[in-house]
Amino acid sequence: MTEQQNSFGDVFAFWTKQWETAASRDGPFALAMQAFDPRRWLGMYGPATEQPFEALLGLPRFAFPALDRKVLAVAAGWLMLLQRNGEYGAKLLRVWSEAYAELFAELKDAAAKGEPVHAGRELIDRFIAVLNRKMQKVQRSEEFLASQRKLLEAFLSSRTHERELIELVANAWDLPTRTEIDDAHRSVHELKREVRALRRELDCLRGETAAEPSASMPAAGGADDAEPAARAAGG
Amino acid sequence: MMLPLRIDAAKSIAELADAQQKVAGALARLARLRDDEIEIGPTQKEEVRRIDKSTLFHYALPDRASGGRPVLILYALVGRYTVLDLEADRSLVRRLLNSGHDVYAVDWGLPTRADRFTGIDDYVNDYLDAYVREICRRHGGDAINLLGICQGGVLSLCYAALHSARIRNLITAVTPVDFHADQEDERVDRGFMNVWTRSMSGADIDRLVDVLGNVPGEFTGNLFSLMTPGRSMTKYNLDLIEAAADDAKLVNFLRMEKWLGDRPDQPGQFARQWLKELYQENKLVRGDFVLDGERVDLDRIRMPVLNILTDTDHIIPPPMSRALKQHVGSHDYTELVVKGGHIGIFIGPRSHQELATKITEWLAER
Repeated sequence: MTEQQNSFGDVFAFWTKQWETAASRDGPFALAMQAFDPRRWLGMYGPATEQPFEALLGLPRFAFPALDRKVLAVAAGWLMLLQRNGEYGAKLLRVWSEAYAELFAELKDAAAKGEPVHAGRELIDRFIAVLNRKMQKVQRSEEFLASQRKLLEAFLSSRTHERELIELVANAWDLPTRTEIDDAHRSVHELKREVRALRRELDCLRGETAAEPSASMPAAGGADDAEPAARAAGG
Repeated sequence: MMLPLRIDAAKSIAELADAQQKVAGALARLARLRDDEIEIGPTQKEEVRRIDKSTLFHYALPDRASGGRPVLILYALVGRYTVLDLEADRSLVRRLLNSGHDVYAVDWGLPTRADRFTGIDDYVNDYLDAYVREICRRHGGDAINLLGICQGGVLSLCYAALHSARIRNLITAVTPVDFHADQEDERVDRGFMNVWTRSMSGADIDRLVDVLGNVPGEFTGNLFSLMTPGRSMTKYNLDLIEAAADDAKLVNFLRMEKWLGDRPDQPGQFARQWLKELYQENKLVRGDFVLDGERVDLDRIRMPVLNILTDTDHIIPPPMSRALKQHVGSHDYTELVVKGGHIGIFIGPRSHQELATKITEWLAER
């Protein structure tokens, strides 16, 4: 074997080792691939295994425009949303299962009292009543509310990442962004408030000038906190 | 042991055939109808004034001259004011007109993202104040009668506290006052909105508003649906099929659907104040609610007050509304309990009539 062949072999062996590390159980590729595991979307992993993209997004960043990072954040947001949706769905499914069990128990009791269900519609109505009762109770539980909160947070987070990516692209094309439009709306709103306040002050001043009492005339009410002169009139 | 189900096969087949027939009939009826035939808000009205997205309307009946005592109706922002004039036979507006009142209503409109910074301060001190002054100007008086419903009731209370001289008589209906009073009589079938909002932190609400700008109508609609999960599940199958067995019932069903589908977004700043300062922090009864730098002091409400509520309100549990008595400064306080639900009291065939009659009688005495 020539010296060049030996050197090439060393370099190849080194790269193979690096790729193996990257793809190993805790390596970045394996972590990214974990995100596509449907079991994760359904919340079938414990709380210890949070979104694997977080591990990637936590890597040190460089100064150049981070389009790739924004794309990754959007993907991470979507997967987190899928996961939270799955967890929420699993909780709903549990309520349905428990409602079925409760319905069967109820039907058994009714039958024991000599009151079995005779019609399909009656069966549906009974199930809906049980499920309604069960849902109303469960959805007030801290566990269910926390699940809703997490789902909402995942949705808002995903929406934020999407906007950041879109705004990066919009900026590159000199297009107005949601953030800029919101800023403009805020300015318009504040200006409108100022105009209305000034108009009210002006009206007040005009009212005071018009009602400037001559020696024989009583003062006319005009300000908000003045008691109306004739309460009965029209009102 | 007796089996829990004693479903006769022949009867089941008949039941299934009947259900199939109903579905076919429902589809046929639905196919014959057109959206423009489902009319809501039929009573004639004219636009009096418009500020931003909101509009002040004045109602009139062709066979009745206006000129009675003006009543301004403020509905909530979570739904459109048209529910008060759903159809000619179920219209609180029309009942009040027929009783001799001169009826005005504010349409808060359909806020867009451009309105995200509009807060309760703007609704009370700008829009509402301008409309009250406009009505006073048209009628030559200094004060009007104000009827506030649900969120509109809270706006009315704030207005009456801050501009008391402009309100002759105040009527609130299904209005939340003490936002934590649901805990006095906690029941699983009511007050879910209170529980849900309190389960969030102030930072959660801020994030919701910061990201979405406004709180979408669909979002609020979904929260309302969660309050009656069974009903929400059967609405578009069992209930619709039942309703579609009769033309009039089907049109009523669709009218409600049209109204529900017209649910506006809540302006971001309004929702932030509503959910954080009122639902979470209960500032209205704590006396810490501040609009445009001025504290809303309910004790300054000294005009006659009629507080209407229902014992079967699943959205605003009755203790939330009842609390008003302890906080207003008025010595002329009347509580009226009407039968029906949060919306039902305004559209129920009998309840809306009863409501209009009681309001008219109460106002006549003052």
